[in-house]
Amino acid sequence: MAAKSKKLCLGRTIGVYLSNDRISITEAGLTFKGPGLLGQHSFNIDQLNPLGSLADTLKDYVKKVSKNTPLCLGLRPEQTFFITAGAEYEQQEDVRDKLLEAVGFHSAEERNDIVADYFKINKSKSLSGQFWSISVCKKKLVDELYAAFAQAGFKNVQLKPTPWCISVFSAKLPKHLKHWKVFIQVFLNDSGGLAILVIDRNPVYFKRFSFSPTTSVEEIESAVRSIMIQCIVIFRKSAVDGIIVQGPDAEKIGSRLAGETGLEVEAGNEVGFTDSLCSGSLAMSAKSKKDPQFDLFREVRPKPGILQMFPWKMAAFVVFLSGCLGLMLWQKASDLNLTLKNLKQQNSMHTWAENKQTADIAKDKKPLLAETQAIEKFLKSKIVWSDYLRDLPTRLPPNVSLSDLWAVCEFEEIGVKKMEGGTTQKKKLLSLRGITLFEKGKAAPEAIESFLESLRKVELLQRDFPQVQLAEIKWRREGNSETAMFTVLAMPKKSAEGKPAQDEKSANSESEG
Amino acid sequence: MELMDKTKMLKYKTLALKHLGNPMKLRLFTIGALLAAAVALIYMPLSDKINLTKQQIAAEKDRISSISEYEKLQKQVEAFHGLIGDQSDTNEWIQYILDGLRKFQVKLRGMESKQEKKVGPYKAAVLSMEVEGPYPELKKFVEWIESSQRILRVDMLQFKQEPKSLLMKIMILGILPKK
Repeated sequence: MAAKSKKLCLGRTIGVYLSNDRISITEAGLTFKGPGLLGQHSFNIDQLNPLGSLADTLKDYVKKVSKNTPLCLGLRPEQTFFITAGAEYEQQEDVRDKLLEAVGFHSAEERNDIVADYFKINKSKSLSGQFWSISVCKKKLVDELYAAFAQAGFKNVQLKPTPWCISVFSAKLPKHLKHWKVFIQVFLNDSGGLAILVIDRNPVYFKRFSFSPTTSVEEIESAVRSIMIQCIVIFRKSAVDGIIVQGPDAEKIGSRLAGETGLEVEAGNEVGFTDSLCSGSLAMSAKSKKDPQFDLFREVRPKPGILQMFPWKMAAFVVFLSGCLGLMLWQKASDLNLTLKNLKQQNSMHTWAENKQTADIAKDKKPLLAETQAIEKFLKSKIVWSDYLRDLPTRLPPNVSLSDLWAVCEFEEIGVKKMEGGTTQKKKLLSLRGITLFEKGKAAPEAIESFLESLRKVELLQRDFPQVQLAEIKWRREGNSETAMFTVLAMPKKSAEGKPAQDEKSANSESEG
Repeated sequence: MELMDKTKMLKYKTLALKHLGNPMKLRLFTIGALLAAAVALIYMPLSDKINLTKQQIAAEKDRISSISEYEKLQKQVEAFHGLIGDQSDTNEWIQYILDGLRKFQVKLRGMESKQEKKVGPYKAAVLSMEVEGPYPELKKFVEWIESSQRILRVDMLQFKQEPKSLLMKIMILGILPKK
């Protein structure tokens, strides 16, 4: 199961700690259980040729992992130390020399003999002023180490100060001590230990010490006091919140240390300053996004060429996206081509139009359109009078007879220019003249009214001549009887200009004529 | 001249290498160059082709629409021609009306051919008639005109009761074939 989870892990990193006589290698990665250590190996090295031994061990190890796996190397604290200096420099070219001068490398020869890496501490509220963390190692050693790794085939290698990595990646502040801003971490082993000053989670200074746990804690106390003095000298901080002790007999030593220093001491159960802790911390730091970080190989690493720096993955992604876009466009172009082909095929079925341009067809269409429109208008504007001739006699009351019927629906000519200053007036009218008898004792015959009422209900009239009105009644005596001659006019709806009024005048004159 | 060119080239090369040595600038340059290449080599040619095809499709659709409309109109016109008659003079048309009139128990009292009216590309013959007869026969005559196989319309109709008979004045319009 452990082997399986090792194979399935993501983001594999390697930490290598090179102590006096052993190489400790730790693999870390993200498994389905979460981020953690995958395995640890320890190898003895030839003390006469430690770098040769390291190269041989790595050559064997590189067969098990990818050469691109991020690897972080750490040396003994005495070999790669780090320190923090207060200096108001901005990032510029000679900042390296100024910083090294500030931490004791006064001559150019000394400065050329070492490799240094540095960064500005930005995230610290407790520190007033500008502070830089500087890590230093002998140039010759760094060159040899880099060559050994290059020989082994590892491409992604960093060299970091081990105490800094332990403090950042392996020592966690207990929850109840989160309020501690300035504190000292003490990592112990059987023969000595490491004390690190931490300000706002930034490891800023460390001191190595050796001691025998059976005798006393004087060496530890001395290291702690030395760090407290540095805290005052460098950082102007007189108050240290407490001490965290990790390692064998941490509780016992912690209580004695509390008595001696008068500081609050927290004893942890975690491992002390061991090779496995060192390589584990280095493995965790190898792919950490925490920025900034030390890398002492930075100065010796040859500057990458454009080909090495070229963002192949991103370029491949852009090419892939472009390819997808191209495919989509090509697909669309193919679909449109198919549609065009179908349309052309449809058009080719009309053989008479094969040799004709679309504009010519449109031109030929115009006279046909004029013909159909003219006939349509001729027929649509007519009134079917036979319907009226069938319907109107049935509406007559018994004592009324029609003497005259006059129906007009003039056709308005199409294609004739209209007279200047007006429109040609189209006549549309239905005039009915009838006769009825006067009933004795009545002022006017009721039959006329009932005739009018029945006319208004005729659907045909409602459609063509909705305006039905009585135009005139004339009284006449014939012998003993009195008759009434009346005229009913039916007209279309009145327009705004009052067109039917003219029809009415003409109707009277025409019917009388 | 050549030496100057070489110096200039070297200067530009150094400048380019200096800028491309910055990973961020190299990334931006790579994205820009690849996108420019994609636009120039993929998007533009295909986009032009698509636009051209779209224009051709629009033209073909327009042609199809024109053709089908033309064919539809032609069918309508052919149908009209069957209802108009063969000869373009008024005499044939008057003869047709008189033949129709003879089918009914009515008497022609007068007839007058009036000025033709313009109906777009066609002309309409105008015939004014006075016909005497009983109301049902006159009504049948009007019905025959309005349901005739020719394109006709009645523009004016007048019934007048005379002492001994019923007189109907009628004005008929009929489409004549084109000359």
